[in-house]
Amino acid sequence: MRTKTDMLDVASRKLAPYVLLFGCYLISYGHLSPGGGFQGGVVLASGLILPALGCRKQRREDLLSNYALSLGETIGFLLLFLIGAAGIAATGFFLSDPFPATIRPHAWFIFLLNLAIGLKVGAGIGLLSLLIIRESEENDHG
Amino acid sequence: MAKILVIVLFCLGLWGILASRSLVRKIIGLSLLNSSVVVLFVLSGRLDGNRAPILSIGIEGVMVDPLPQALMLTAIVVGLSVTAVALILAVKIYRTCGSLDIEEIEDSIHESAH
Amino acid sequence: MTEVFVLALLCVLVLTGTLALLFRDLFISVILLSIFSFLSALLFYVTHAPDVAITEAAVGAGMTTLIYVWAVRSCTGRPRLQQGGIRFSLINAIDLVLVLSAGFCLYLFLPSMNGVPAFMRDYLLENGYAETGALNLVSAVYLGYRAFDTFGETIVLLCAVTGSIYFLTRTQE
Repeated sequence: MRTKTDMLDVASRKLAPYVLLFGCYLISYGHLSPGGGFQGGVVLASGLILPALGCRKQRREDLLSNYALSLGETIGFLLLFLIGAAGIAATGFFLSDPFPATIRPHAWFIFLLNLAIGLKVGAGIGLLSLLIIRESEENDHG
Repeated sequence: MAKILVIVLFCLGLWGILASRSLVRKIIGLSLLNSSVVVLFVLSGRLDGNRAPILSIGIEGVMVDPLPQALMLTAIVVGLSVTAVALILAVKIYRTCGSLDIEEIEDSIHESAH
Repeated sequence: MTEVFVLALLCVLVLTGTLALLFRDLFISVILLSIFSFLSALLFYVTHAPDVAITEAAVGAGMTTLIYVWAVRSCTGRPRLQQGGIRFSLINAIDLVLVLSAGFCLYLFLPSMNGVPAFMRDYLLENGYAETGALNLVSAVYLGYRAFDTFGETIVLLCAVTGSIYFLTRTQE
């Protein structure tokens, strides 16, 4: 966009936390109502794209960095892998329930998986979209 | 009747990939193909049910099958990955060859090979 | 009543898909594809699949449209007419024959959408909560019973993001 007004900047920055909150709600209530890791992760990415599209260039560089999103995605994936390895340590099968059998039925395992997947998908798709937005801004002015 | 419409959607996507000259339109056909398969699975999964597959107290009705819906979640995300990489490759091809048209791209590849 | 609505939605989906492939302006095709995703999200909601509806709306109508609009804009500068029209020639006749024969084979051999056995639904209704602890049975399937498929899907997404980073930030030719 050639002209980004102050109103667009402020409005997109003030509305983004509500979208992020909705994404966190979808991730954490995934085992009880429609939602889950993927749905909440994509909504989280949308909450990151909204300020990236509305803000001016300098503030976008301050708010969202490629390195932080890449780190978030890698940590999410490693968390998923660690949960699977904990399943091997507990019962011998990858990605099985590592918690002791006395507290069944419980939703801790699915909840942790949802958190890890939500972090990974949100950071991954947010990074992809942010790269595309930055690249289009470069080619607009360059 | 629904089966015929889903097959029409599938054939639309297939035709879009085969008969389009522009790369982006071929990728649009690929997205249509993906969506048609997702629609087929979800429509096959509602057996005779009239409520969503979430256990709750006090809601009457027969549940639909949750298994095709779980499979289609994966399918939608994989479709997004394929579309994203395909479009980025198409833009790279445009920057290298100057056009999105398949025949012009083939001509420029033949020229640069000689 | 719901069945009529589902059939009507499917007809509108077919119409939107056809229009998305026939318009010469790529920008209009991309917006029609976004409308297609929204309508299929509505279809998934009406057929009692809320998880798939949320995913299709967020992914199809959100992310995919963003990437398509970026691609169309960087390929023409401003949305302009592409030579993407369909012309009549021998190759196109062969394509049409191929597609029609594929459709005919599918019509003959695709199993009916009505006689699907229901034992999986009954098993998950009985044991889904006790074995996985989730009330949302779709989450119970793809995070409890088939979590390995979900792990593979995250690997696919990781590869896609890695490939995109590679192709977008390479500066030397």
